[in-house]
Amino acid sequence: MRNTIRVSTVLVGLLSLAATAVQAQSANIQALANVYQAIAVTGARDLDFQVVFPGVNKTIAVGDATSGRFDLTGQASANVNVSFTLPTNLVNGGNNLAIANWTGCSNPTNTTASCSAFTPSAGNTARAFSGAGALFVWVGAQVQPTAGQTAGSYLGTVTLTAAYF
Amino acid sequence: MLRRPLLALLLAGSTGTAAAQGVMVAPHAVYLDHRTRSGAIILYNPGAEPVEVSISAFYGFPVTDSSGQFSLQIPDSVTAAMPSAAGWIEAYPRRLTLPPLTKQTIRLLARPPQGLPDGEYWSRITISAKGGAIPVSSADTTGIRIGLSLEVRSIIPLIYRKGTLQTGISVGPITTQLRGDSLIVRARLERQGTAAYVGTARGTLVDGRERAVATFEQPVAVYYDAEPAFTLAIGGQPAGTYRLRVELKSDRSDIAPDLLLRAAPVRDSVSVRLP
Repeated sequence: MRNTIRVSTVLVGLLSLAATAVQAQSANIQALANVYQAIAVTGARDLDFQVVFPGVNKTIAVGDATSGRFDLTGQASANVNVSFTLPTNLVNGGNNLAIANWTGCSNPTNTTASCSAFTPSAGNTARAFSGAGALFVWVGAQVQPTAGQTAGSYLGTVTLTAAYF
Repeated sequence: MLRRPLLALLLAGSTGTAAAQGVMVAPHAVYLDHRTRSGAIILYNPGAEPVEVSISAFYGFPVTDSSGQFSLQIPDSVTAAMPSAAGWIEAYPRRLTLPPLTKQTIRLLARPPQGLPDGEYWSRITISAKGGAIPVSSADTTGIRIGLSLEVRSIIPLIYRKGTLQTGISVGPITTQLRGDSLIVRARLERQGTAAYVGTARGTLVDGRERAVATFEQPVAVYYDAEPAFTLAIGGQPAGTYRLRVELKSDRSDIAPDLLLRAAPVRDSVSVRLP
């Protein structure tokens, strides 16, 4: 949204007229500002599996303290489509570590209590912003290391796409 | 001696915590016209880490599904008959790294084909943002460490106009359905004129004494036609007969009024019986 705010133009004009009588050199300016409503999608918290043991699957649920969280802001009550690009493997050089069973949940307020569950996927999930223009999305998943999983750092990226209308 | 514990504390605190990867994008929608053929998007990185940003365009437009939810329709291929601007919209720069707490203006230039007929042409702009660092969880006991970073993409509409265009909306019969503590309101909306209808739908449920007991207000964008679902929270309302008034106006609080095509407001109402 673009609003031009003219700060007390009339008031400033009257004051400048009064000032002219007592002080010959004076000037006034208008203060102008363009206010834009912004949208934002922020990766607010990484999905963190912490300690993982070879041969032992580990699941992080959306309600866990280390689930991933995206924060979205937009127009109040507006529709938004949410979709995901998800890895099936985390990669360490030539080694893979399987990741599956993705779970998702969203809520207009920043709590997973009573959030609306969905399965993250490349397909669109329709959601709406709160009256304050907020939406929070949590993701969880399961890593499935094999018994002989090679040690190392396994990396991947979760991509959330938010489409505004 | 004091530095090491402090460093360890900072590292521990950073494990598994995203540095708010993402950018703020304004405006919500970009409007270009054939006279100036240019526009801008403003990006701002509110985080503490640099963000890699890329800009791209594709063709798509909103539709509603069977449940009344809006989604983007993206054709498998774009034909000459489609009003796509995606092929001739260019962003400058297309790729950049945005340092923390800084702003960047992205210029959008249109290079339409010669002889472009009057009309409205559509595109979607994708703004992808990726944080520079991937935190890795520590697991010294097993040697397996995992880092999953979060990448975000925002898709906003771009509308290119040539010539004098008109828009409007027609509203079909309003239907209502009770679902839990909510009243689901639906109506078929058909765009009129030569341009997409962008506006706001508002509904008010009034009781027998003309008091408003529930309202909704939702932005709508009807490029061809749509049958959106609007939700009214009616929990606690006593049984009885109410009147639902629905209004569509071509205003949006997130888009500058001078960018919107004006259309006459459309109003309708229907009787609602709450059990």
